[in-house]
Amino acid sequence: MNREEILQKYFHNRLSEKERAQFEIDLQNSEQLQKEYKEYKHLQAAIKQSEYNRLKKELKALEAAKTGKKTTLFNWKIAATLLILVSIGGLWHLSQPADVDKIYAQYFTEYPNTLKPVVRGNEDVQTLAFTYYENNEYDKAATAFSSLLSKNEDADIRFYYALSLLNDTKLELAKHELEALLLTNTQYKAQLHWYLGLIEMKFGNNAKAIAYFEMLQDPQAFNHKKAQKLIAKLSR
Amino acid sequence: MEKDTEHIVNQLRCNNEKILNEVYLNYRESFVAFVKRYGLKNEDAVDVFQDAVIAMHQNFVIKQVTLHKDVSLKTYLFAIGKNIIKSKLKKERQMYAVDDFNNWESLDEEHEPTEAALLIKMRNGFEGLGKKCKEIITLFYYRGFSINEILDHMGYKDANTVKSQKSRCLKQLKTLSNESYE
Repeated sequence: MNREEILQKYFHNRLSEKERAQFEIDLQNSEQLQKEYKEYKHLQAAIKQSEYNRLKKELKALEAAKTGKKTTLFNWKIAATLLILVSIGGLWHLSQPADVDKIYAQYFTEYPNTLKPVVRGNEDVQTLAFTYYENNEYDKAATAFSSLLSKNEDADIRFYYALSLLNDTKLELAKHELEALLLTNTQYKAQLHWYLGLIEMKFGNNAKAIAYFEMLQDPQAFNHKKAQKLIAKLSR
Repeated sequence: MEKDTEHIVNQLRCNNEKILNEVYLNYRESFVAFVKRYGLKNEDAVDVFQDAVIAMHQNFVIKQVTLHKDVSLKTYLFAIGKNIIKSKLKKERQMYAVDDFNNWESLDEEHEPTEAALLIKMRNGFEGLGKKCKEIITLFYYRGFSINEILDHMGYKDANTVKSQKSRCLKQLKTLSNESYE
């Protein structure tokens, strides 16, 4: 048995009594083994916690189904129904100037990765984050970008963090991040104005939305034509 | 151990969550009635029961616990529940007691604050992994599958591929959790 196998068997109660006793002696005498032991222990504890959280959610849902009570968990079916109802309500109220959600969906496209082309074989967090981003796994991308930012602040990386949130339909959080970026010298200034405009439009703040779109007046600016069209629609 | 219990335990050791749900529904009423004797409200009793079910399940999955032939699943589950209540009550007592000492840190259960922070980081790293990596890491470190068992389970080409995939995933997890053991 190699060291890893012994460690694994130890943690999963698969060593014989004799092997276990020997392992405990070895553990006391080897710093390297102590290090590996700790790593295994922490990893297992981390997965155990994660599994605990998942199972707890499942059991709460089971409990809610059993007792027929409304679950305190986020219920996607209810949320979807509500969303549809809200959208219908929205349609009702927003017959003029137009249906905002529809326009948002029509004009919103995910901003591509133009910052760091993903080079296969690299395994740093940044590559990982952009790989997730390019694969549309935005929640994971957001986690990875956030981990990068905790080490080193970078406005352009934060832009992609905000966009991951936005693509994951976390509009409030994305808005907060994008607004913070207005004060930086990110190369994505025009993109900030465009996406903030879309978010404000979606939230029904037409005046703010128009103000952002007006920042794209320069015919060379990012999405200049689309911004002009939206200004026209919202001003009607 | 009854044959039926043996079957259930074996299924739980194989991480069968459908059986886990059946166990939950089967013992819920009697457990809640049982722990109310400790003065717990219904809501808290259900909460403790859920924790007991998960702890039992994780003992089977991780430690591959086997029950002595005289011990029923119910006895085992209820014993775990009792321990959870006891530590809960103890913690509450400490909460009142520490008011005098202002010694809040000692309340932080089993882990030191730094260790707790490390675990959160690692958990985030684990949860940030892609599906395949999550599976391979879970099979090895949580369920205790050997490299060959993972090979059979996930249908990799050979043991070496499993090994290199596992170490790649582990590296990714460490990078994600921003934690190095070096």
